[in-house]
Amino acid sequence: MKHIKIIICLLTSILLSSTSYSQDNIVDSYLSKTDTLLLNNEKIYIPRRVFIPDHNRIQFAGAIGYLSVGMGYNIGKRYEITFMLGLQNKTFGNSDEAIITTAIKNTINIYNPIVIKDRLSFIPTVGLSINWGYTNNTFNKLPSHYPESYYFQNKIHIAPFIGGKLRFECNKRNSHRRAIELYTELGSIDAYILECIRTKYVSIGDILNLAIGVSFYFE
Amino acid sequence: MRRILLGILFTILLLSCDNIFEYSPYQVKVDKADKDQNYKNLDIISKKSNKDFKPFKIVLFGDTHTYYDDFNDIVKELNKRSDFDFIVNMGDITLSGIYREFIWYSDIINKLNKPVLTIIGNHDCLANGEYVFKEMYGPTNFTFVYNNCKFVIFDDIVWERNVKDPDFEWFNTNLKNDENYTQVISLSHIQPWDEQFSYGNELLFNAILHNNNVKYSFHGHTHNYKKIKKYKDILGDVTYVTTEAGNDRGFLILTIEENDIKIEKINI
Repeated sequence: MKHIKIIICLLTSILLSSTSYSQDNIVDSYLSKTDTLLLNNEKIYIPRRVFIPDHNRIQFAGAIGYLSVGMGYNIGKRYEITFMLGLQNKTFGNSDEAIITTAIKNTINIYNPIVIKDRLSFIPTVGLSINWGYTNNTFNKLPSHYPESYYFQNKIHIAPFIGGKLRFECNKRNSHRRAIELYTELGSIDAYILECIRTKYVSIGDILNLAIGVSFYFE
Repeated sequence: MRRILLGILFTILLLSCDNIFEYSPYQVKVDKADKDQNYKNLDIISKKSNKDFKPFKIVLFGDTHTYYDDFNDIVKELNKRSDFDFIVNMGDITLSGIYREFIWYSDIINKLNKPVLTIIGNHDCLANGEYVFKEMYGPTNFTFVYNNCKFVIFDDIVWERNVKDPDFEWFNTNLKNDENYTQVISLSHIQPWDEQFSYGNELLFNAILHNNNVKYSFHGHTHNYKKIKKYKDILGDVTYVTTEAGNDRGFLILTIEENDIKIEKINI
């Protein structure tokens, strides 16, 4: 914990010290964070909404709940980070115990969109999801009655996946939606992958799970 | 055309994978075929049981965890033999108590020719494992009678239940030899001298066995074979026997006789 604090303090001071406070720079940096719009030959500057998510998502299965919803940001052309919240209970997914899962999904678009037809394109993806399960007997840190390292933590699972998405560019004039993507991902979780490596009995087919979802991208 | 064919092939491949849609590794979702396996197997066992005592053999192994390859070999070896009547797994059938570990274990024991009874272990109580276990195998405390011998299966997991004492009252009541049984045999996952037991519980466990004239108590958990009269100096002379783990590739054959139990340890 102490180390993390020191690292954060160091990073903050480096960032602050590298910022120049001259008047020009402030204007420049403001302009770089804005979008421009031409209206009656006049330039209007619109500040970008930094904290509003770039996409929303709804997903079926994929080890993070029967249904999960999420929002996230597109960073650069290739990388997306999505924060997901999933639920499984008796009604949704037929589990006798309710399970809530939160996940941070990191998705990378391997190629630029491969155009199929007009506004329809295909993008292959890979990614890594970090899943937290909230349920009965899961823990990050062992409860105090156990000897040290009696069990390994079982609350967080790392889940790599490969997938693809069909991207449909929306008609900009009618909506603020930029695109809709239908995606599917084939993945597994760390504990299963370990058994697949460690034993002959557990094959790749035994550890895979499939997720299907829709993402909405905004202007 | 090639792409479409490839797509169809891939889809078929995916659909052929069991449980391709997994909602959570912690899910408590057991298929009908996998439910209440201890009940189903007890049914088979009780049909073969005699009213009067007749010596018989059973097989014990435990702590199979995720040593699936070794476990598969044990199953193959047991299927070659026919000199025993049923099998008891002493617990710890998973490593983290997660969904597919239960499915994999269940798939392996279903290959056995003889009926298996499964006892709950401490690892099986991790995450939602306890609930999955109860769905798949039934109650964790139970008794049954075979050839006029009473078997008492006792759930003695402590830490994974947030340091809750095992149900010693149930244990004491059910170990009573109230119907003139030839033998009463106790089976549970954790041996009483384990660190999960407080010293009081340890002595209580032994005292209950001693007071009910139980001669043998069988356990898993330690991952090694031991046959020991642990509390000879304190109280009684109950013999405690612990089984090896799955990766030791072994099992015990117990010959239950009128006044004693003979133990043969076999490793493959």
